[in-house]
Amino acid sequence: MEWLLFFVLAFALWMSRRRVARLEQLIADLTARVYLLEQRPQARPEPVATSIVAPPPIPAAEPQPQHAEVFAAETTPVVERPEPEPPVFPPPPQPEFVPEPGPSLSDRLRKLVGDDEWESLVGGSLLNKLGAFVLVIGLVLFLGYSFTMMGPPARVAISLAVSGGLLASGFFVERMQRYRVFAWGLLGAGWACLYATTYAMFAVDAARVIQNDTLGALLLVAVAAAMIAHSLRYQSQTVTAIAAASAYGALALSPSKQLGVGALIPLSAALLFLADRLRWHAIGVLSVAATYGIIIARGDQGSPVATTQAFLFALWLIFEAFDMVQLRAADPRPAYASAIFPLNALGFLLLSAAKWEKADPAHLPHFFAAAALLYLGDSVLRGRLRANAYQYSIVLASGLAALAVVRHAGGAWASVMLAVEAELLFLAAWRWRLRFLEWLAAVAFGGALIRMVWTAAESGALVTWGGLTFHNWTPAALLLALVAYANRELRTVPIPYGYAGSALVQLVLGAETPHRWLGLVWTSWTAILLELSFWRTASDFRRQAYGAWVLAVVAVLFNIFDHMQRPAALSEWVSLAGASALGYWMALRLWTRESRLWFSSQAAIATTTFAMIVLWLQLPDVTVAVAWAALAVLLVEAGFRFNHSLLRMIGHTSGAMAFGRLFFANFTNEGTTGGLSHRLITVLPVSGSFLYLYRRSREDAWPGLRMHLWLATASIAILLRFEMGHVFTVVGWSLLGLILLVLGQKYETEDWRWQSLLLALMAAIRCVATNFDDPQSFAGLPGRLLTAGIVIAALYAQEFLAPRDQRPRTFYSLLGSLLLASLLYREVSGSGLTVAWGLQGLMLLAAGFPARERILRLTGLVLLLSCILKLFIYDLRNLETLPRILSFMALGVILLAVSWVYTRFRERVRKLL
Amino acid sequence: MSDRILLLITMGALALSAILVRAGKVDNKQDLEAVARLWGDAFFDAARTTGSVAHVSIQDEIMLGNRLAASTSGAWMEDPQSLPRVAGITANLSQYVRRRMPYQAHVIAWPEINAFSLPGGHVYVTSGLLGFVRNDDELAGILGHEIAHIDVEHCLDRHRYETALSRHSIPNAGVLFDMVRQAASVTYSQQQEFDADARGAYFAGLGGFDTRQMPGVFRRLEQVAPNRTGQGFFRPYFESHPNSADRAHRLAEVVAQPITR
Repeated sequence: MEWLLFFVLAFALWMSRRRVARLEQLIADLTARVYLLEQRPQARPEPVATSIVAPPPIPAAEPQPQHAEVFAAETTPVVERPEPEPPVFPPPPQPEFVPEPGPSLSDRLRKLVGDDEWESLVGGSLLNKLGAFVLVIGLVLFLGYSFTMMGPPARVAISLAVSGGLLASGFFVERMQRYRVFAWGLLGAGWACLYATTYAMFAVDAARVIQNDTLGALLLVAVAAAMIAHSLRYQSQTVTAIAAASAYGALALSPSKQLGVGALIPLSAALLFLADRLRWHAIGVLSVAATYGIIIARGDQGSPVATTQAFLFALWLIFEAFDMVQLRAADPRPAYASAIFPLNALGFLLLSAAKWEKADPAHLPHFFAAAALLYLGDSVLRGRLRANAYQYSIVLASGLAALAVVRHAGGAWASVMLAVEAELLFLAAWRWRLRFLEWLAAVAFGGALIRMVWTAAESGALVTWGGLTFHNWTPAALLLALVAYANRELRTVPIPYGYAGSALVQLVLGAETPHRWLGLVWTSWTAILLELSFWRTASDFRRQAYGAWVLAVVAVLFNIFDHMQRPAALSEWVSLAGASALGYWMALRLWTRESRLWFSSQAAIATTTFAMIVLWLQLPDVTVAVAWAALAVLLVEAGFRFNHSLLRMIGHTSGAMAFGRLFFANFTNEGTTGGLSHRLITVLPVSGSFLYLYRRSREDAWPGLRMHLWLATASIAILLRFEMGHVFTVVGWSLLGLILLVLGQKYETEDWRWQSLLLALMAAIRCVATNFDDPQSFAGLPGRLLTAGIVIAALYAQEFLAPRDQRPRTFYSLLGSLLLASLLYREVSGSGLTVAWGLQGLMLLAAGFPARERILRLTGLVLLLSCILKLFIYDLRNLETLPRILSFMALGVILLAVSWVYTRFRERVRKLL
Repeated sequence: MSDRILLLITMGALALSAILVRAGKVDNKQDLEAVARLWGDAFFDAARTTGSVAHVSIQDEIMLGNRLAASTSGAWMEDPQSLPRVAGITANLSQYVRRRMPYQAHVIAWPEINAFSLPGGHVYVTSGLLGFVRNDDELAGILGHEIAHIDVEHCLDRHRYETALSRHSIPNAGVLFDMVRQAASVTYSQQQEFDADARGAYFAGLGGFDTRQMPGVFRRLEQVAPNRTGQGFFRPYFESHPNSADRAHRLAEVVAQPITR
């Protein structure tokens, strides 16, 4: 019990300190005013004698005529001058207190209070209180101290005498104004001594004269009641609070359990009545705190739960009624007075719950439910008394109801009941336009949602109904979703009900759909959300669609990875294909409806990736590139149809990937159909698709589109390599180069002309590296001669097809001549080579003149000069006599012939040159 | 022609392609063979074209070959009894080579079936190979293959840069260059083998042997010592010799054509 006494004393001191501080401030203010009044007044300016009569009214100026000539009139315009206003003098300066800067605390006190007043304060008031306190302690010690010569009755008698004497003195002295403060100290000491003596009479062995605990407690309560009654005389909340604290202390100290607890009700009721009448809010708070504190301190008395609950309910009712009455009051109450409600709620609920938990835990949820109803009624009443006063009560009510549900119901039912609670709150909020209630409903709904997810995660139980098998929490989840969507329509605050509903639907779909269909189902759900967003012009549905789509993409990816490990059924491919088709549809809808280019493009990229993977896994290897090329064409067409530039770009990229795919399965494929190789059947259409893409996209000014021309040519060139064999590849390349040159000139396509050059070079190199050494023959002709001959002929043909006076023409000519010279080098040796090159030179010259092709003539001349060099550098040293002679003679004849031609046709040659 | 018509033609061609593939004998495979062969082609063409930069004369090649043959002579024993047969066929076939040099045959007393050649005209066969081949036609095909490697400078290519640069007193650079070249030319050497098969059949045909016997050697090789090539995605491209079945197939196509000079 000591801690209770300490609490009482501390509370009393705290109350006293504030009162003393207020009194000191009041005295300081009064002293300052007197001080200033005693100072010499400031000189005031003599007021000018003014007429107390109101100044004569200013005659209204006559309105000027509106004609312009009036302003130009010769007469002097009369300007009405208003009467001078009476002089206004500043009001006399108000006396004001100006503290001097920098004085110390003692100086300020001394200045304000004055030396005489300070001493009086200390001597008169403070010493008075200290004296009473010391006296009471002495008395208590006396009561407890055991004299051998003095028994308990004597000690009690002496204490009572001291107490009575103090009280009587106090009453007597109080009548004199001068000694009022002194009298209060005597009275306080007297009551305290009487209280302590009464307590000792039954509770302290050294002073025990009353053996009956109940009688002793009653006496103590009587003394406390008398103290309270007396304190009312002073109209002081502090004094009464001290007395009340003493009364509570008495009950706390009472050994009689029934009295200790039972007396709380009347005591609290009485104090609350006083607090209400006298607007003593601190008393109200003290009453609530002390009441529940005593009950907690005394612990469970073993009473039946019904009795305990009734008692606690009575207390709760009293305090709640008091708080509501305070609410009704017009004047505002201090902030600390608001602590009554939470203290009352905490005390009542904790104590009741502890009792039920101990005595009858099975019915604890029922208590929570009853308490919820109680607070629901409380909130209604509070709402009627003042706007927004219902909030705490309704929060408690909903929390208690949720607690009751969670403790009583299990599984999905708990979620349903929580959802019902949330919906009731929401409907109430909607009905009465209460935003707080709407937020509370959202919190409750969130709790229901969390519970639902928890149940879904924990429970795998299945039920069968109407031929359908589903999880036992699925109906609850769908109900929650329905509620969420309904709330979304009715809400007035931005609570994401729609998101919750969509998440629940997606959860149900994910749990109930077989894995192979999950990608398609979630994609379909995404499409529904997207269409909803368009229909309702609701951006939240669109965002939900994005979220759902991400999950759908993940599901599809898992499906695909799963199919990479094992063969997939047709239904699974149908699911993936359907998801891809829906993906494209949504991408286009996003673009056409709302011009969301980025989102639409991301969707198209993801869907295209899926589609390509599905095609890769599903189709025969050799047709995958064909399918990708077809997809590329369709994407580009769709891009033009819907004016979607990034979709076209995706299509072009798919086309490039189709080209890459050819290397994996097409160029070396050995399959055939009716004698035609599958590489031919597949590569040619794919090449054609590249050309189509280039032509179709000519409106787009992208430099990269020329890539298609190169892809087409490259795929055909590589096809020729594998289709025509190692030896005849050069023939195919030469002919292809020839065709490209013709087309390039006809359609003015520079890329084709470059490709023609490149193919010519590749054919020439390959001839030298491969064909010249090949021993195979075809139709009786050596393969190397046949193929090299075709290549050389093609080169010269390209020379004459190329535009005049341009470098490609020269290039083709030189390449052809070089190749022919190389072939001769390989086929002929010794002196025959000199003759062969000489003849080649002669032929070039002979062709160069009629064709008016200077490069041919120059090449021929260079070749002849080379022959001369070879003659003197090599043939002279290395050849036998007869071959040496033959080479010299043959070359000599050739040179002479050439010289004759130049001389004979000098004029014509000059014209040509 | 309007874009729409072109679109129809393009899509029609693609669809027809898919239908025709479905209607025929489908070869389901996907690998990097096309890439490997194209790389081999490119490397081969570039190497052959630029080979003249590091020109090695026939005399230098003979000297190199003799040095290499001398360095390996102590590593095995030769079989003098079988040598006349092999030397005779070698001398017959070497009449038809392009690059004239003295070709020397060697028979190694070794049970393993193998044959190889060194620059400068040195041709080696094992006694195991001699026991494997059924007749001189098949042996002529093998010897022609090895002679072809020398004639078209496959053997010299491995030592070309070393030999050429050592002439300029920079041997180590040449060794390094040859090592890098060999590492990059793995698939290129497979094409060399195909070319040597064809050229060897050419020599054998000109020498009067029956070239139709030659593919049978590789078919029997496939049965006796099945290649581990063909298993796994990347293995065929990192083996120096092609699959024996492939060689037999290609050689059969070559020898189906008449051999003319």
